[in-house]
Amino acid sequence: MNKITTYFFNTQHQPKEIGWFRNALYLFLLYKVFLYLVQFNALFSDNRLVYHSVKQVNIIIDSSFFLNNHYSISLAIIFISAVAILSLIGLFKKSNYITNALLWFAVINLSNFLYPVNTGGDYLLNQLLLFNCFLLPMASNYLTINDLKTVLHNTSLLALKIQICLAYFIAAYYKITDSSWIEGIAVYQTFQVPEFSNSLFQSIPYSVCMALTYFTTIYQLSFPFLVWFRPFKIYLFSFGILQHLFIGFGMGLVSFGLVMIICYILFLKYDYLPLISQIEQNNNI
Amino acid sequence: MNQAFKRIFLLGLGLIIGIHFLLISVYCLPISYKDNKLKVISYAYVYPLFHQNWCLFVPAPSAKNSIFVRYQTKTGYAAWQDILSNEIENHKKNRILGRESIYLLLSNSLIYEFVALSGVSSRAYIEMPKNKDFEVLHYEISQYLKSNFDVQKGMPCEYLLVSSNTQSTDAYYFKSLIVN
Repeated sequence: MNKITTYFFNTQHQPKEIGWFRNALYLFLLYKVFLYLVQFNALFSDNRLVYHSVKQVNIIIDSSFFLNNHYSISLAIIFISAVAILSLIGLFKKSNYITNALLWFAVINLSNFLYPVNTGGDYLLNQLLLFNCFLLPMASNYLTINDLKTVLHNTSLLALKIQICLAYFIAAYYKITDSSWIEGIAVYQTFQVPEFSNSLFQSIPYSVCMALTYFTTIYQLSFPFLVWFRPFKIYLFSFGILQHLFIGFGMGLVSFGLVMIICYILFLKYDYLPLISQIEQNNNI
Repeated sequence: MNQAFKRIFLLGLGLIIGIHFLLISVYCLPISYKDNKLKVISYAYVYPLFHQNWCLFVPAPSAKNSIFVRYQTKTGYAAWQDILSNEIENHKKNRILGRESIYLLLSNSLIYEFVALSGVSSRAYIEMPKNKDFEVLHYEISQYLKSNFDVQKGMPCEYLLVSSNTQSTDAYYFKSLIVN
């Protein structure tokens, strides 16, 4: 128990990786803001395509539907601007608990307003932003408060990793209980649908598609267990990045693909990158 | 901070995180439980703040879906247009600046409508169906026609929703509709 307490209370783990993760997250949010502006007419204007109905349950749930329940073009602009400004604040390393909580609130409101266009990437993004609130807090003058901030940081980091592993595990569970994935035809079948395919994908031989089907299932099933062990990481991340780039730019689910790749940053261990450590030592950084 | 307090605090946090992910697992996994209470609690806790869905490509898509629409003009009905395929092609031309959300919007709403129609064979509807999924789809298509084809509110229009795979084709023809 002492070791665990020391692990969680003594130091804020992986500050460099979290810094990279946060930068990637804020840049991704700025990209989302850009897309919202490009598609503003279709998504937020009076002529928007998105169907919207007021939802009233209780005060906590209603807060995440604030934009939905009090919709106006001005309010939509305020929420989009808030995401842009708060992301920039984060990018310039000026964020704190409040700005990050506000960012989560703004993004979840936009996400709930655009519910029909959400993908797994949007759901995951909401969870990443929730735990992001507690990462790398500003230091306080009080030792006790600093201790609490440290433990919140380390717990949130662990929670983020569990969330990503859980997503992979549940996705794998669905696949191993589905006949098209068990029979190895899922990828081939998907490539025959023009929505997710093109002439190049359609020409991929059946045997290759079958191998991809099983490989994807095995990958998703093993990720939550193997990602904690250093020797497997390079293989997991190489396949994962290729797969998510393919899903993003080949199959068209760009936001989903990018969010999944951003998640991998959390599993990197800066100390494990000998080349970077060597360069730093040589330069006395 | 003394060691005992640290331990209690850590245990408390661990408990919160443990319950959080337990409820998310119950909410997301397609497992039936003897006691339905846990499922009810998980729904109350998870939706909407922690909502997530990980049945990615399960079941694997197998059908090409299309939304054919036509609308009344001064000289009669305009030609049928497959607006979903048009949007998919637009998105393929440029993935980064593309129209991912618009194609997802139409595609998802169409899938919900097909789920609502499951078990119904191909047919023509003279009156507008009363289900919510069709209401949503009709709203989206109406807005699409107004913003992309300058169709006025109140103009007659018709839809042909088609789902086809290598084994079968289902088509649902909706006549006598009015642009919202």
